[in-house]
Amino acid sequence: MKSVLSVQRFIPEIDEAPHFESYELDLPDEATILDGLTYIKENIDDSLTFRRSCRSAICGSCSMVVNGYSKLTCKSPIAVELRRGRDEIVITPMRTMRVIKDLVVDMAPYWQHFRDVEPYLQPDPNKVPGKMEEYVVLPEQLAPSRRDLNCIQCAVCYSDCGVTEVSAEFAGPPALAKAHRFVTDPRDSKRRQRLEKLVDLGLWDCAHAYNCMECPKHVNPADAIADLRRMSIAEGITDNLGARHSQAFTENVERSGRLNESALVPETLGYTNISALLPIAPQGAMMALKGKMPLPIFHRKVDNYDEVKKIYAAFAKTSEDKE
Amino acid sequence: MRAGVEACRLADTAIISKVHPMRSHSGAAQGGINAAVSKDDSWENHWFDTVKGSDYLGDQDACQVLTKEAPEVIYELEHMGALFSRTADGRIATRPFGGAGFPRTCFVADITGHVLLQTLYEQLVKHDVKVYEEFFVTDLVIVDNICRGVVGFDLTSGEFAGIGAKAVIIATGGAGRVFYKSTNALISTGDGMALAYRAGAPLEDMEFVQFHPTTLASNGVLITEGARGEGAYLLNAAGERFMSRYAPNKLELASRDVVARAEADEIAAGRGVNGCVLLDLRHLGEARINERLPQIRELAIDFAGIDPVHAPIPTKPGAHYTMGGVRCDLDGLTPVQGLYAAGEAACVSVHGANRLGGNSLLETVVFGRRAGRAAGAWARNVSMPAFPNGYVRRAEAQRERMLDGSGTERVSVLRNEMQEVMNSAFQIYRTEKDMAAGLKKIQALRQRYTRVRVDDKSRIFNTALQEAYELGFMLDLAEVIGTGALNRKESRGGHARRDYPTRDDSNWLKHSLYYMSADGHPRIEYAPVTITKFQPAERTY
Amino acid sequence: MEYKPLRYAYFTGCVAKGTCPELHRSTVELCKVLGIELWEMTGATCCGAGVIHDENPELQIALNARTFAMAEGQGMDIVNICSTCQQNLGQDAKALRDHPELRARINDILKDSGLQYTGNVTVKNLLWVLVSDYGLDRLAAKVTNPLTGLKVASYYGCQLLRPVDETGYEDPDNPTSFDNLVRALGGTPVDYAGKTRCCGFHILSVNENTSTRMAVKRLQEAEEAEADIMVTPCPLCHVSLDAYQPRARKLHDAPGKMPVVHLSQLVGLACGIDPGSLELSRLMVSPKKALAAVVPA
Repeated sequence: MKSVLSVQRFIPEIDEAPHFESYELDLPDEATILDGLTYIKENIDDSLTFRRSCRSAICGSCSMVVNGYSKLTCKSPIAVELRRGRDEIVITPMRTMRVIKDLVVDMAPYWQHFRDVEPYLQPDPNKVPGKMEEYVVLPEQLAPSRRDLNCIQCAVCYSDCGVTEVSAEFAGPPALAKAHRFVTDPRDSKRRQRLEKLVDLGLWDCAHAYNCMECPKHVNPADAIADLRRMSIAEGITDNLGARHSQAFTENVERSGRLNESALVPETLGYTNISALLPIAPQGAMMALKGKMPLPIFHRKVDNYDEVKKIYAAFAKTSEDKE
Repeated sequence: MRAGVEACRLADTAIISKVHPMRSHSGAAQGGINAAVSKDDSWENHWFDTVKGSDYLGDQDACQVLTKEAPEVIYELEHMGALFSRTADGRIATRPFGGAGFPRTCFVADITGHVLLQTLYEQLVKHDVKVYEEFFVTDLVIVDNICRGVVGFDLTSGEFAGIGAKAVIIATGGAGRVFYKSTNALISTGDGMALAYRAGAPLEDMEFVQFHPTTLASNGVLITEGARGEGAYLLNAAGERFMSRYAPNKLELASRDVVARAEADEIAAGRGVNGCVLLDLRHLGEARINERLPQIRELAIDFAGIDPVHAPIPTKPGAHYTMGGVRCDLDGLTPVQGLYAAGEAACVSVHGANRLGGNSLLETVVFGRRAGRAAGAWARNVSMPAFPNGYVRRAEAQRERMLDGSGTERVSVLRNEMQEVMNSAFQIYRTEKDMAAGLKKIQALRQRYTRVRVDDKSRIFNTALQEAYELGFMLDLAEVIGTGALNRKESRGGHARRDYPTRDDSNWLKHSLYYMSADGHPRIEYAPVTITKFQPAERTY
Repeated sequence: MEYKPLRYAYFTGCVAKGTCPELHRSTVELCKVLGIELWEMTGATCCGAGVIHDENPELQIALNARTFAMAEGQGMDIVNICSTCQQNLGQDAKALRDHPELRARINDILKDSGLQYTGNVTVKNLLWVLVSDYGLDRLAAKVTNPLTGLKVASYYGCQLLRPVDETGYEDPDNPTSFDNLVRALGGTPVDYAGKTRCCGFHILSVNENTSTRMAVKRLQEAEEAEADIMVTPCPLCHVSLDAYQPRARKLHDAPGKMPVVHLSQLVGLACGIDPGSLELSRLMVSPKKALAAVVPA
């Protein structure tokens, strides 16, 4: 199977800037991108540098960007890329992190976010079982964190995430999934504190780009993030823009069945929050001029709105029951 | 990491790792970790199974420590945060494993090693233990039989440095990459074993290599014994569960060496399918496979194009585990003062001639803890030994030589040749003729290695250079393995010879020790096996 | 050639009735020209947008189940004109289809309103309807005003593609539907780095700085690829990239202008609908110059 790999090279001691080199390969049909890079290193240019270890999608070392999408290269068949009809398979290092050399990036910021979520069990010291006994944890109590456990810290989602790309403060999907694993651990005693801290680490900065849902290990962090948000609101951690937006949105829809967009912004920010409303007032005015700012007073309820009310009422009732 | 977590309570501790700790190969361990946690089980039963599994070469006092401390370390891990799979009433669940008289393998689906690795790394973060990450050790500094520390280079900057220490614990894992087609990661190059050997510490029982019965033919990737623990069958081309002929009691869950040899025999007799046997999980059903064995389902799909829910997986034996290692005592102390070893890199010996599945993760935790404790206590009681001059300069000069362009031998060429030799001469069945020829080839490769060349001249993140160092380690170890295998004239555990097909306790119930002599070749000595409770008997399953 | 008549329950979503009325108008005009029958779901609620899901997943499912029941009552599948609607309606439809206990629970709540949902409605975005149900050959035959010479950056965005387990429509790492559609209209699709990356809309009210930074990147990526115009199937992306474009550029010191039109507007233009009916003037960044060659004077 013939293929051409176009690989970004950068050897800091001799290159001023990254540049591409093309390699023509003829490999077995089942060869992966990692196989291709290994072949180049062993037979063409041993200075081609990349991280790798287990070559079976368990260690998380070999993540790179292939044709614009971050992947674990040991489980990315070249044939799949060829089927996508490209002449060259372009391989670049992961996004966001500084390139040390060729395809190796500096993962220090990634690991800092990992540490920021306090990724270790913090049990109640009064509830620790004896030396020869385990905590009783029912199988169903393990279910919420089951997918979080799969995470091999490969950084594929971190590299593709639209938010981490522009925001160094955002903890990123892997750290949030790790946080979820501890928030849902019945043996941990810091649930509320963790959730509070997560607000500052960017719990509400996830923009639903869902790149992380293409996780090679099916961790699917966006689900964990949504679950953390739900728990955060349920715990009453609502003194932040994200939670207020979520609550305002839900109540806004309740009033008429359809979102009243113009009202949503002041409802999120607070009608009296002049310092927040003032800077965006010009934007609102410009949109109004284009007829893009529907006046709240003309907002109509959806047909058969009473059905909507009944649904909301049913859920209000169940949450009362829970209390 | 287990040693580090223990030692950091007692002394200033640092972990040195050539990869980020989360990339360690322990993460690939799948099936589980043994402990007699069940009320109907006893650690004494586990003790016996381990000794029998070792084909009576395991030191019984070491096996006793391993199995007696097992339940406690499991609970300790669980308290640290490990999320073990549970029984319906919330207790740690166990599954059957090879060579065990009772289901005593605690597990987390089929990602046990991965979860334990995470848990221990999280503990490192919690205790803020210093980690020299992506630091490659090139030398162990041992002078006057006292370990002074290590020398190596930081991969990112390329800078050499000496790191002085009152105690050094070697926990660098196994050396499976000396073989072609191994379950091991590319980083499993036996670094710590070779470093200790070169610095004068003895290696032990290196001739005993475990070939795991179920690895994927395409790339050698492991399919856990846990699959057989959950009830999978091994079939030959005729669809027969052939293990009934080799191990009528335990069938697929006989000891690994027994199963691997059975597979090799079936394949040699023409009853294989494209050089493999078939691991059949279909009767387990999709739900159970997804719950208990989800990762191996993915591995089979991704790397063999087979969905085990619908079709059997072709598997064959592959080099998997190094029973031998750096000789040490029950606290991980080697004959060199201040030098300790734990885990696969060590030989206590708990596994003797063959290791039971689930005992490897256990060894890392039990003996990691003990070594950490012992090394930490030692460090509290001694002053820092003097770090000798010249070691760092010498190591730097060595690197310059490797990069100066005068070499003629390519790393990948030498490595491939080494792996081919090891595969053909030192695999499951060994003969005098093949081994003698193989050993000569290995020795010739070691000679050629002195002229190794690395074309990547950069100092920053030079992995070609790293691979050259690793090759040097592997060649030294290959020679030890080859010398040992040729020397031991019997079959025991993972060492099976066609010319000496039976176990010979009267002559060979002893450990082989290997010292690097002045000419660079291994010198063999012997040490007795500690037998306390179980008299060596015939080993059948 | 005999074509099957196409009828759909038309889910407008909230934004097409609020901030982007041009989207609703152009969709209706386009379907008239193409002969696609739309039954507007004036009773449907907001899809939840993933925001109600964050607070109470089953509340969102219940609201959408009501919408599905309404469509099912008409014997129709649903067409929507927003990626987030597609994501949320689609995800909830799948949950209801695959989990009978959930469906039973939700139907218990809908009982009060005399509605029941059996789980058989399919939800499709207008892009998919045009490409798959209507067909690109059929569409090309309706083009009276080809977009010749127009370099178009098709903005797939996120939620129509991922997660592929939910959307199931095309390869998120190599989507081709939108570009093929542009070709069918006579235009030239442009390959650019941002075509499947996020516009940031969902955090616009929560973190304007980060959100607009993302939007600017998407605009710059299209500029680097020398696109004349961007087109999007999602009004939320449109708000981020068009309505907020001047502000985003100012906030991040990234001058320039990249016109962004709705899918329905671009197709409508190619099919001969006049710019007035497509309400092109409502766009914050005028596409007039970019479309000069295409729009008859």
